[in-house]
Amino acid sequence: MKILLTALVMLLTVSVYSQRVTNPKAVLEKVKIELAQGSESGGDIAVYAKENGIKGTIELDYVIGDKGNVITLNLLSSEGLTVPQKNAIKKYLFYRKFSFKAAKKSKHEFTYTFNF
Amino acid sequence: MKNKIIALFMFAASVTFAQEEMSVVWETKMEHKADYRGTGLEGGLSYVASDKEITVINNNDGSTVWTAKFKELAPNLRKIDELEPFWGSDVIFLFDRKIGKDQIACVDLKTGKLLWVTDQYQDVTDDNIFYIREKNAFALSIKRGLILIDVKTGEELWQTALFSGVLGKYIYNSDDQTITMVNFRPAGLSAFFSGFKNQIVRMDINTGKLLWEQTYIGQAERKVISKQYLFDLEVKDDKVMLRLNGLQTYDYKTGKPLWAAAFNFTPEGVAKKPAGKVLKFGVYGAVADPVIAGDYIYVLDMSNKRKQFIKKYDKYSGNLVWTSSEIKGGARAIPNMYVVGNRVVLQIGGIVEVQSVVETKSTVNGVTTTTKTTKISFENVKPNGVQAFNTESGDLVWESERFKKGITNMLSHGDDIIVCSGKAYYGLKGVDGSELYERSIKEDGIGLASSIFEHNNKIVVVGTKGVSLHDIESGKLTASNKYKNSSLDNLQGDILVMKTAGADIAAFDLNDCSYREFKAKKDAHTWLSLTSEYVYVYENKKVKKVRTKG
Repeated sequence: MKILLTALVMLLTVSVYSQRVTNPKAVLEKVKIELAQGSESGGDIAVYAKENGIKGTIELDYVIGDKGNVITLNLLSSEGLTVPQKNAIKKYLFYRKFSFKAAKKSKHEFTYTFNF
Repeated sequence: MKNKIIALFMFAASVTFAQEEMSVVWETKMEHKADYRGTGLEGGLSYVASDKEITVINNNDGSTVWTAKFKELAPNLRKIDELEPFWGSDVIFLFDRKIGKDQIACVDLKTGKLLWVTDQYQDVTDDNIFYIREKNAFALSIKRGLILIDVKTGEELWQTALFSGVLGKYIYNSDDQTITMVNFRPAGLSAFFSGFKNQIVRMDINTGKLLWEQTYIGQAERKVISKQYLFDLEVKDDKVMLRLNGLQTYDYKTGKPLWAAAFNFTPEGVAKKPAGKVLKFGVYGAVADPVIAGDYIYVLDMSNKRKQFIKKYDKYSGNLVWTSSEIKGGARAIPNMYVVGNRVVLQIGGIVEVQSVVETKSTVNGVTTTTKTTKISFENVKPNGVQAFNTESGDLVWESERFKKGITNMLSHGDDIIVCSGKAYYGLKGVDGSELYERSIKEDGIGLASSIFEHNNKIVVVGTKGVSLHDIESGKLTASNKYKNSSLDNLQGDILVMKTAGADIAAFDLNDCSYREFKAKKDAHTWLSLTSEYVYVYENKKVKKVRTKG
């Protein structure tokens, strides 16, 4: 019985995780929420920026793929960051995945400004 | 009287054979070893470096422009493992490898000023970097995609995961700021680019976003030492044309593949790999480029190791017109193909180029030294022969028995062909292979021919011991000059440089076959300037600039 329950929980977890967000508008809302959460105090992006002494503003142009991965990241503008800091935060964000999947083979573009 | 005649004869002989030395324009001595060296354009700069320091010199007078220890340029640098100049951007990259903490420094070649240094990129080599002149930026290939980096600041402008491998060739469109480019996986970086796939893409150079992406047939390559690309890219009439193992065409606007006449071919087993730990290895010139004649294109299909064919296509529609009868004898290499009159003539076997980088380790008194040896050589691939096919039907029309024993290479001349066997060269009628003439090379006094080529209406015979010239029409020997056992090292304009195993060089003037010699120290590196007026000689701690003429 215990095994069955565990399997059920795992199945539900997987199905929730793999649920695809197919509406493009919903994708953009979700990414912005996730980036905002990451940038809040205690969020992973904010922690990374703090650990690396990053302070300032950086505006990035994103393209993300259907698996929640960043496929293109373009630096639009920045203020207050040194070049190594810009490169470092950009690298961190490029490898950071979003928690959801989008419609198969879809791509989503948006810009986002981080204030550290 | 007899003595006078002998004396006169001896004087005449000395005039004929005494060779002048190349005059030294300047000579400069470094304070350090010369493990790395590079020559810029006339009026520009060159450099010599050890693993700890570098000196940049002025090509005009050999004066030192700047010199520095690497640790003074950037505190994190100690001994460098690799150094690569990017002449177009006047910078030099320094690579210091420290497992997991690789440092890359970018230095201004003109001033010696450190532009930027980073430890962000691991396991990257000079092969991963490509300079894009129009953006004054470097395209750096990492495991997950491509990064565009500003040359002067090191700032990453964009990064994309959608491009794998290294940027090969590109076409820049200034109107819409896009580049159309082909990727490739350099020899020795197969493990680094494990997820590699063939790509031809059109990309917005300002954002890194792809407009379209397609795949291509074959294996795009760059020579492992001399770094020339073995493919070509062109945009014409809104078509992208990729010359690689044939021809592949795409719609420029949409990327839609239009037609392809290309075949996979890898020259595996064509030439033997050298002994030892081979870091890089490549065999080049084993398959002739496609030939466009009139409305048709002729392509070699060597995708099958046992059976090879010629294929004729309509160059506008890409429709296959015919596949030839099988090329006889199981060709392992077909370095040349010509369409002369109504024949497609193939050179079967002959000279191919081999480039290799081999690592050797030696231990003396408990100290292990690692040495990288680079070598460019030419090997003769068998079987040999000449075969001709009908341009209308693709049927075999004739084959020559003569060249089954040996062939170096073949040229076309009007409706005929000129083939060199090593001992002689022959004029053959393209239509039926009948022999027009035979020119023995024996009386040229330059040993056996290693290759022939056409230059200013003359046949230049590159021998194992010198160079000779023949009139292309009559075949008459017009000039010849004997040198030591040597091989072709470089060719620019009218100057051909022969080099011995001991690094002595002779610069032959192809107008009259006269030459000037320079006896360089063993293992010296030499570089013929693009103007062909000078040779730069790098001998341990010394650099010399010598004149090829006058």
